[in-house]
Amino acid sequence: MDVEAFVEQQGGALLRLAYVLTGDRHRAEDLAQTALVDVYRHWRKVSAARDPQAYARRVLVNAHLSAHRRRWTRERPAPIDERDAGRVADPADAVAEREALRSRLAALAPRARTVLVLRYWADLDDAAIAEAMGIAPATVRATAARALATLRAAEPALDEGDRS
Amino acid sequence: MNDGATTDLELRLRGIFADDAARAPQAGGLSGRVRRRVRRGRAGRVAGVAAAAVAVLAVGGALLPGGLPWRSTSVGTVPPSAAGQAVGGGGEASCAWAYSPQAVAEHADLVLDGTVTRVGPRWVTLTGMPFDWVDVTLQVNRWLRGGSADSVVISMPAPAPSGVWVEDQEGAPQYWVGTRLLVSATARSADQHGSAAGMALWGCGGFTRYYSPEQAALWAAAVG
Repeated sequence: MDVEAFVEQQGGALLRLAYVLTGDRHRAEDLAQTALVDVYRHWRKVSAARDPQAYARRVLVNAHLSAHRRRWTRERPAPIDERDAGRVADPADAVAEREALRSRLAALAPRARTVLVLRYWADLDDAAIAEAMGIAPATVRATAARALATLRAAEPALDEGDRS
Repeated sequence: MNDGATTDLELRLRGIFADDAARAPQAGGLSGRVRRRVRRGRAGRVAGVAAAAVAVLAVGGALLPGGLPWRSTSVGTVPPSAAGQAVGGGGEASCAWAYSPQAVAEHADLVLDGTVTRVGPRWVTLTGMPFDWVDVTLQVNRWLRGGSADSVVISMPAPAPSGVWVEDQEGAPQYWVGTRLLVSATARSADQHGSAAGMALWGCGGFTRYYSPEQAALWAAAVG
């Protein structure tokens, strides 16, 4: 496969990953471009890699996290909606609940949210997530566990229901 | 993931992420835009990116050791008619964000009004190859965001070598010693263009403009 074919083949997947990570189509496009330009420039190394797709994904994830590190002083996490304990199931509630979870996701640290996206959307195992993020698998597990605990802690009523 | 609550949470996370992915923009044209960015990097055709700035974090420091002297005249004159225009012309299309003072405020970490006092040295890659970016020293007339020093070194796409203004030029941006610019920049990842880790900032294309009092006022109002 040459670099043109790789970019054609992987561009869509990288763009979707970038969008799930950022929720912003402009940033997603920029991240995808950044990753693919890097692939172009280092194609010899990329094509020789065990998994060229993983290389591109790692560039994208690093660029995403780097951007967040630069912006942290300006960005504020979205407010967390307070849930009313004891609400009954209702289709409207389901939508509101999903949006509340979305808000809580947005409030997570970028690295924690990235771990969740790579695990639950990209379906990567801990080793692959670790490779993509340049951290240890144990750190992936710990980060994921903390992130899930944070999300669960914000919805005590649901937790109780789930466990019953 | 070994209790019911977590399993339910996992399912809902998968649902949210799948919904997000379904709303992702289409990749049509992405490969073309990538190729154009690559070509600009290789050939120094920096029409759009010209407005971008890459600023060296280490104050006064060259991006990489062994920087080459810039071979252009480094001196030229920008006509008054260019005031307020994007440096490099119609480059905004190459950028993920459309230009506006509000976009500058949203995306830039470093914003300033400055006058070019030195062009060079040119960037080199880690393997010593010249690259089409140069370190540009500016005397800061006014900081709008990100600094307080009297001068700053910004790495930018290399300027047109002739020093002679060409109307509607496509290609290298036209700025030289003495050119007054409104510059915005954001940090860039360490490995782009072979740059050393953590040393450079990167700005989005179209976001650096020839100074005009009107544009400066808009930027100042937007940046706050």
